[in-house]
This record gives sequence, C-alpha cells and structure tokens, in this order.
Amino acid sequence: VTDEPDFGLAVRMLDADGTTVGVGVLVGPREILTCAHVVNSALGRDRRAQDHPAGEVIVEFAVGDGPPLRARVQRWLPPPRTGAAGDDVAGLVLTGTELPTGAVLARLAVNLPTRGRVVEVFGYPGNPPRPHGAWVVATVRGQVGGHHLQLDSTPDSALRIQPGFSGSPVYDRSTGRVVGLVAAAPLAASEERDSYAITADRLRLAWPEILDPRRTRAPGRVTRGVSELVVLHVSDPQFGRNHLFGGNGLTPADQAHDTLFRRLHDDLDRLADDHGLRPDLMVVTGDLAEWGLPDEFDHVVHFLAALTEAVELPRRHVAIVPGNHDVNRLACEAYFLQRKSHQREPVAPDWPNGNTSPPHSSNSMTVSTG
Amino acid sequence: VSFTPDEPYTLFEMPDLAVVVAGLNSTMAESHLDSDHYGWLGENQLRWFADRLAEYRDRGWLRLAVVHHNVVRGAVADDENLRDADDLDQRLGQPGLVNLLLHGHTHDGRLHRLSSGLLALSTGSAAVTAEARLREVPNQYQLLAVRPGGVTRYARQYAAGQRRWIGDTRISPTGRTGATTSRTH
Repeated sequence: VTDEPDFGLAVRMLDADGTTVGVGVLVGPREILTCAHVVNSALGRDRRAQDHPAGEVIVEFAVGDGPPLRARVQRWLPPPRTGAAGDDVAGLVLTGTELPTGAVLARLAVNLPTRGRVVEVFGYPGNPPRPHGAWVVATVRGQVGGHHLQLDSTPDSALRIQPGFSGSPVYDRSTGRVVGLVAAAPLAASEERDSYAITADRLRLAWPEILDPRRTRAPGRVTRGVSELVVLHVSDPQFGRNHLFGGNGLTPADQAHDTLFRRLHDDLDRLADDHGLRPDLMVVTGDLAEWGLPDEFDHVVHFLAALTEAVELPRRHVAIVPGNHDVNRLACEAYFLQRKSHQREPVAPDWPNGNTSPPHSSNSMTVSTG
Repeated sequence: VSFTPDEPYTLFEMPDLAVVVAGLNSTMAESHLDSDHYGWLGENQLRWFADRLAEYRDRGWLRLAVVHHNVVRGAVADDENLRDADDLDQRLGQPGLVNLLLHGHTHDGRLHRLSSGLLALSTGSAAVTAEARLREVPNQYQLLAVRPGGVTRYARQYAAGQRRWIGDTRISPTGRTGATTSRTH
C-alpha cells in the first residue's frame, strides 16, 4: 500500500513529431502495456488499423529526464472496428534494457474494485494542458460489457479523464495496484464524464506470459515431481474487543504496522521466498467477528480484501464458514421476541425475516471482500 | 461469500484449481440463549453435501470440508463441540468423499483422525488476545500443501515479542517452518 500514486509506472506515448498521443504503463522489466489505438496514433496509422504494426514506438517515462526510448509491438489485439467494446491492447517491449531512475513496475489488481471505489488515473490532458502529466480522481461505477470498468470523473475535480488519457493506468491507491487501462474517454469539451477502462482481468488474458505468471504454470507447486495445492487456513480472528492486533506500538506510524493483515502478509512473503509456498486458496473457519456486529464485519471485509490482494488470491478462491461469534445475539433475541409477540415459536436457524433486519444480524452471514 | 436463510451453507467450486470446498455451517442451533450455544449441522445439511461431493469425486477434484466447531468432542465444556460430529463422520467420512477436513473454534491447532480415518486439522485463533485463548497455545495459522494421498502442514505461531510469525515448534519440534506430513483420504 502506497501513500502516493506512483508516476514511475506511467509512460508517455509519442508520435513522430513528439506529440503525446496517449499513455502506457510499465508492467515488466522491459514491457509496456497500452491501447492498440494509441500505438496506431503514435505510428501515424489509422486509429482502427488492424494489422500488427512493424514500426517502433517512441516512449518517454513520466520520471527521469533521459532521452525518449523506443519499443517494438510484441502483443497485438487490434482495436474494435466499430463501437466502443472489444479488444484494444498492445504489449510493447523496449529495444534497450536501461530504465530511467524512478521507473516502477505496475502490479495488476487481482480483484476488481467495486462500485463507488475512488481510483486515480494518470494522463496528459490537453484541456487544461498539463505537459508533465497529472493524476485525475475518478469513481468506479461498475463493470460493463464483461471486460470494461465504467469510471466517472469526480465532478469537483479540476481535470477530467479525456482523450489524452488513452492507455493510462487506473490506479487504486488503497491496494497500490492498477485495476485497468483507460480505453475510451469523452472529449474534454463535452459534458459527459463517463470513461471506460479495460479491466485488469482482461489485460491478464491478453498477455499472460507477462501479466499472469500464475496462469502459465500449474496451480500449486511441484515438489519431487508431484503437484501440490497450497491452502491458507486462518481461523477465529475475532475482529472486535478480543482482537490482538491494532494499536500496539509507540507512534501512530508503528501502530499502522500492527495489523493482522500486515503481520500475515510479511510471513506469507517470507514463506513464498524461502520455501516456494504460495497459497492457491484460502479458507477461514469461522469466528471472524466477536459479536457479529456490523463494524466488526467492516474490519473483516477490509482484512480479507487486503490479504487476498496482497497474496494474489482471486475472490473465487476464498471459502468462509460462520462461527458462533459471527451470530449477532441481539438480533437473535429480537427475532425470538418478535415471534413471541405473534404467539409463535422461533424456528431454527433463527433468521430474522424480511427487510427490517440489519445485515449480519443472524446465522446468515454476508462477507464481501470488495 | 454469503450465507443466507435460504442457503445457510455453501459449496465453493474452484474449477480452475479442480477443488471443491464444502462450507459447512455449524451455527444452525446458535442463538442468544446459553442452552443453544453448541455446534450443530443437522441431517439435511450433511445429506446435501454428501450428495454433491460424490459428483466431484467422480470428476477427480480435490474435496475439502471446512467447519467452525470441534469435530472431536474433547472440549472441557461439551457446549463447545459439534454435537452431531458422529453423524458428520458417518456421512462425509466414507472413504473418498472428503480428502481433508479443516476446523477452528478450539483456539488450538490439532490433528485428529475420525473413526472413518478422515483427517481433521485445526488451527488456533489467528488473533484473539492471550486472555481469550488457552495459556499454552499461541496465536496460530497454517499453510497446507495438499497432494494426492497426503498433506504437509506448515504450522505458524505468532511471536508477540518479536512481532512476527514463526514456525510453530509445538506442532513439529524440528524445522523452522513447523512442517509435518500426514496421509489423507
């Protein structure tokens, strides 16, 4: 988790005249990801040209003050011929091996942000002009058409996502990960504020050799010729009054390190480095909360989202069961009293009925890792 | 992940891993009343999982069962246990239905073999304070490397003084990772 979005991961894409035509993102030691239509513009081709381009693209990192670099197109998923949907991904490889000081490898998100998450987009807007680039704040509106995230530029933001942002990384500050690549944006003069980004999931499929090392090897690890599946088993964290972590440490900065997430992340990193143990799936065997209260589950959700992202576990590889501490006793009592008031017996399991009950109020439990 | 009144328990399918996880809900009896404070799955739930898991056995998937409460009735207060653990073993313990069972609740990482031979592994609480756990048991979690016929367990304990997780030498007296290997169904 970083405090500032990193300029080091952004790359400016230039045409032959040195005009910025879009943005790219550094995803490997020499690999840059951008939109195919940005490459077309950079090479002076038709925006929707379909054939694999042969020429070299001029790129310039947002950090450092070295000369522009050159890159060849290795992966090519051409832009859609009509409409806004479809592929539009180009994977470029730098012809040299030198990166400028301050260049940073972007990491793609494993789990996509949910509606309402605030993200930041780096670009080179022409209106008002920002020749050195700028971050623009946007809000995720949700997924559309399977492979796109709709982003709305924040109304009070001085800048908006606009055409100069094509290929720009969409950065989630809370996880330090790139969740997508801007593919379509309204003109700066237009009143529209919605833009569309190709999701990290789709990008991974587009260039798996570089972006999805997990997919290119079998699940688990291979020990003495036998394939193993690694299960991370965490139990009874009991977020609430009896939770050990949080607030231990002298200064606020020290205290920020004292979370179950950070301590587990450190250990899992060590086990991955030293023993090749990388979890393929996670199970949590109950008692996530102390009294099944909403604010305890907020901590649970935050913990699960942070940990799964940090160890690159997709949500679909997480299994959770409830424990007795996840049952909200107040809600149970309310249900019993309500049944009694109607001269009826309670029915097990003791679900409060209807929409009057708060979430997490009964033996039913909902934990979203968004 | 959600457990709703309509479907209080969940079968987690992970096709890209060829794994299925039976997410058992052992809080079926739980309420605010002290007399209801025990683990219970019920016949309907156990039958439902047994029926479904057989399909995944035939497909060759790895089958895990996970449940909160103790499946071995060893706790001092029987309220703490899964009261229909024998029924669980009878329905899900038949050879080849479940490869491995994982549970929590005890705040103590243990290894048990049910009467059927099904291996049950627990881990302690990852995060409760010292007052809320057994004096001799630290905070724990575990990584399990599962392969056909066996599992290697990497038990971890939280060393509060060092503010980091280390190998749990209670589980395995040798080796810094705290690794032990057991046979599975």
